[in-house]
Amino acid sequence: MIPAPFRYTRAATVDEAMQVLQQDSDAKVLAGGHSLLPMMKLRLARPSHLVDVTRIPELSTLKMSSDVVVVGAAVRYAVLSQSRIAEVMPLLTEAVRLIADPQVRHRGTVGGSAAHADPASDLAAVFLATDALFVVASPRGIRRIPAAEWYVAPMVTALAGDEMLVRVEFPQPQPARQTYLKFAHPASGYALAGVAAMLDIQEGMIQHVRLAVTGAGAMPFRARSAEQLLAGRPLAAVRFEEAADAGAKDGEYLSDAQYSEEYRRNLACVMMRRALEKLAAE
Amino acid sequence: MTQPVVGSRALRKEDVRLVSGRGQYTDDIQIPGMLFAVMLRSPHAHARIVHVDTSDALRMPGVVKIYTGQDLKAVLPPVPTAWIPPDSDLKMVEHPVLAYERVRYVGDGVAMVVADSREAAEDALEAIRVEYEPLPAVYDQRQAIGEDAPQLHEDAPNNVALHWTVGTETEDTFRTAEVVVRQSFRQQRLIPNPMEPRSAAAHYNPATGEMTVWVTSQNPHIHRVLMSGLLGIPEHKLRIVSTDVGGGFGSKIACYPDEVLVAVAARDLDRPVKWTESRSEHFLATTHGRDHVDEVELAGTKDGRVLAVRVKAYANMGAYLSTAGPGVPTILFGLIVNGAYDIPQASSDVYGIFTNTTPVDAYRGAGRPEATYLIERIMDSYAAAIGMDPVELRRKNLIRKDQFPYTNPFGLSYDSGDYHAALDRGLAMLDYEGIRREQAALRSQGKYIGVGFSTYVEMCGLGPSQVAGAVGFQGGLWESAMVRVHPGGKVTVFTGASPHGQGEETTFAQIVSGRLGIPLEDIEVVHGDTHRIAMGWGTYGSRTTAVGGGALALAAERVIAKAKAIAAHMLEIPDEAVQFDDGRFHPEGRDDRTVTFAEVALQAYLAWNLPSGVEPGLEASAFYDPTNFTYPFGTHIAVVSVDTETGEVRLLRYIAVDDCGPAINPMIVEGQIHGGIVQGVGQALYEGALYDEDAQLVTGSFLDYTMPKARFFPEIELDHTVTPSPHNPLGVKGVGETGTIASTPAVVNAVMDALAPLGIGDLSMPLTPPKVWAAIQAAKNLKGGQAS
Repeated sequence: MIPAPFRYTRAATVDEAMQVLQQDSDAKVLAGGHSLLPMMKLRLARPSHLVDVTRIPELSTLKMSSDVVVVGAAVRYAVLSQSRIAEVMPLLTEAVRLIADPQVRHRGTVGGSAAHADPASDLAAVFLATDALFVVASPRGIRRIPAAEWYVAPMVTALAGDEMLVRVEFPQPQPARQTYLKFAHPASGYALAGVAAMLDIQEGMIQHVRLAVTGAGAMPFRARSAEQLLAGRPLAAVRFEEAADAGAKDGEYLSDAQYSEEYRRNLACVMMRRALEKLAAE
Repeated sequence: MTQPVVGSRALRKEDVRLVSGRGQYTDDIQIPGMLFAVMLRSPHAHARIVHVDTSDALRMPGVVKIYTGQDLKAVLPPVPTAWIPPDSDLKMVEHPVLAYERVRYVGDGVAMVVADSREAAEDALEAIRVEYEPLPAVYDQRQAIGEDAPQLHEDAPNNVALHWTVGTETEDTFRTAEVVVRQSFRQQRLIPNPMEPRSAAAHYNPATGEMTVWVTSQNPHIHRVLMSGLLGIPEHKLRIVSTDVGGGFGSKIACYPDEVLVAVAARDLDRPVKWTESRSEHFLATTHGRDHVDEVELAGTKDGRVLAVRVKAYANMGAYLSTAGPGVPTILFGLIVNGAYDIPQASSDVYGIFTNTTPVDAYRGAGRPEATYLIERIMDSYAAAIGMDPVELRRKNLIRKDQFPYTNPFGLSYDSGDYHAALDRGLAMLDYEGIRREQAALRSQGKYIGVGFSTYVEMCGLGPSQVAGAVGFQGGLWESAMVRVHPGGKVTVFTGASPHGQGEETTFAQIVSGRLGIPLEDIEVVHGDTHRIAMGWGTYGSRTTAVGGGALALAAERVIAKAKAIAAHMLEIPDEAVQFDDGRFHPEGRDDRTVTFAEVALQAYLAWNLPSGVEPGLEASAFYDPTNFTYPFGTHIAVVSVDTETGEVRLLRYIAVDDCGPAINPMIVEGQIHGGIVQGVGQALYEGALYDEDAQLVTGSFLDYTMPKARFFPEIELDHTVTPSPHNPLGVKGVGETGTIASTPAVVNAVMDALAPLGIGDLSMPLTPPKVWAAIQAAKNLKGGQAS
């Protein structure tokens, strides 16, 4: 449980952090460290150099305006869950409060979760449902990567080796009814199925449906088939079960020793339906 | 007189130290010049070791020495087992401290690196090159005794470690019985996870030849016996210290190779050496628990009278015999499979089997949870088979109050009890009829709740030494205590039991305080150090208060007897005229002239004016050997709901009515019951080791192995009855394991009760959401198929 030897730099600015990443291709960004450090202690990860970005002031930004909510990459879950963002995007704070345990929430960061790209991360569903934009810096300047393009494979993002995530932007407004429902893995607490759901109901009609699922699938996914079945339909005429069934088909599922493909698909389906029922009943 | 201290909810004295970070656990030991050891463990479940190359590793910075199995096999005897059940044909296979020709499970020790720092040692570990030739491996015990199974030990053909049978004739009864119920139960393998992992530190003084080993042990004196033999250091030169130990649950009974190796290195290198396992290492290299397949048969009448029960058990021993391993599926299991019921005939037929897995040893309850599970589960199946309410069936077969002492079919003499009273109390707390009405109403809405019972008894308070000998335990099971009164009247108590979280620094002080009439804070309880305590047998098998407390009560009485003689002399009255109460001696019936306990203590040490023939000083020892085991019992009731869409089981209510005799400290008793229940529910719903085809542990961390968590539980509802045991001076029965023993079948019975309308008869533990969901799906498909 001792990591292999590594160097450590606490960066004061984004430029300083990027310099290290450029100089050393085996360098890794360290934020809360709650995923990276356990892997290093097991020697499953052996970065040669850790660049601690948690003291870079720019990365702790938390801003709200009428058209965007900006969350710095090093904003900790606990800070976020107590922030005023709950007023405009309750989905985000609801999800954050269900992440792991208080110790992890006081260390773990939004950007760390995004960049680590665990396919069972709670925030993945939120990023996908809200069409979040990942703002990344590199020597070539700044670019924005849409959530739909961010998750490339389990634990792999669209981030290039010399790029660094600096903040996440959530376009506003989002649909008014929002929730995050989670069926947690009883051991790890990760989502076996986490559903981010949002919609509006205007004059009895369902509008702006957003559904995203994390944990159940090999990758987090948007359940667009469910969204299409529901959008623009009268609430009285829809069957959420049918929509959830369709939505579950948008994911790909794997089996492991304890949780079969069938079970995971079922969980995705059940949790989607329950999330929709909850929003409809609000 | 103030509130009696025995029976009070005194706060735990040890907690001041333990919760403020002032405890001294083994890993806290720091000695100048100390080296650190780490173990290289086999990544293969079964392989031939072709070559171990340590040359690169030896050149790494900070590395002092590397030991391999080849280095040690000639100088160190193998690790012994200490429980040899008679007539079991036990195969005492060699368990080397480090594997030298073959590794037999993932985690088997291959080499030990000793270095200046833990960091240096772990870096060097990666530089050791081991060439393995992988062999076929087997993790399932029934496969291991099958044809063409990989063979683990030359001395154990077909991997059979032991075969043991016990009990009465049952054949005629089974042939003629009106009803025979057969069921096979899987006791999944559990991984004990005390908060503190295992650790050992050793310091050797070549000038005196004295070796001190700090080790996470539940029984330091047993460690001393075993390590003395292994190391060739006589007991008077070998000190084992296990004062603060952060939980064990049975996993710290065994003498492991690791602590022996640390001592070997300390002597060899003339430097203190410490080793502490990581949690990942703990999952692999610390003993596991349970892992049976039990084929059970019950014979009974159509109107619900059980006539006979018999079991054929296949117990997984792991790759080697752990210290107490062979006793667990035999003596601690096979003798009590009739449970709390008056069953005339019973027999047990037990196979212990070697597999390529971590060795199996005691785990909280050790054998008795397995026995209780099978009888409590098959009682429900029997009830279903004859259409009888499971409570009525139990009421009809429970041993009656007027039958005690009750001799079970295996010859055990159950001490005392009123099993029906505990059941009635539990039912009253539950509102049984109300819950059945609610269940029916919910079922009509497609919602499923269930209620499950466990009317258990267990045997603990291990135990009379004569019995220990008769059942092949290689030690006595009496316990020692010494009460030393200091000249100022304060007291130090020395106990041979070795509490490691159970709170006896407090309960033992309460016992002494109650007898000597001095405040709790004037009493210090010392345990877990073989140089301070002459001899003892440690803490396991819910024995500490029943046996260690019994010894303590006797020692305290001896102190009082001597103090009375001194007080009589001081009061100038005959011995028999002295009355002692509330810490004061006075003439019987009068309290105008008194001497206090402290005054007598001082006089005992000054010795200016002692009665003739009385020696100076005031201390007494007792070596107490109980006359029998103790038999705590009770009724546990679980109410669960099953979410049929996700398969998730939720515990809605949990009721426990336990009888452990008189409680010395009800708060500590309740804490033991809470913890026990949580661990038992862990087995029912959450925990279970899984191996893959190559016998690799799949559930090797808390990410995959589900420990029960506080949020999974409702407020546990407790009550008790009090039936003293006639088998020890305090009348106490032991409570450390009852919760674990009782709760597992109560919860599984409740889940099966909930699922009964769906036609689901049995599921194997743990009842995880995917398993329950899959069973519901299969049942639905079957019903659908029948309908179409």
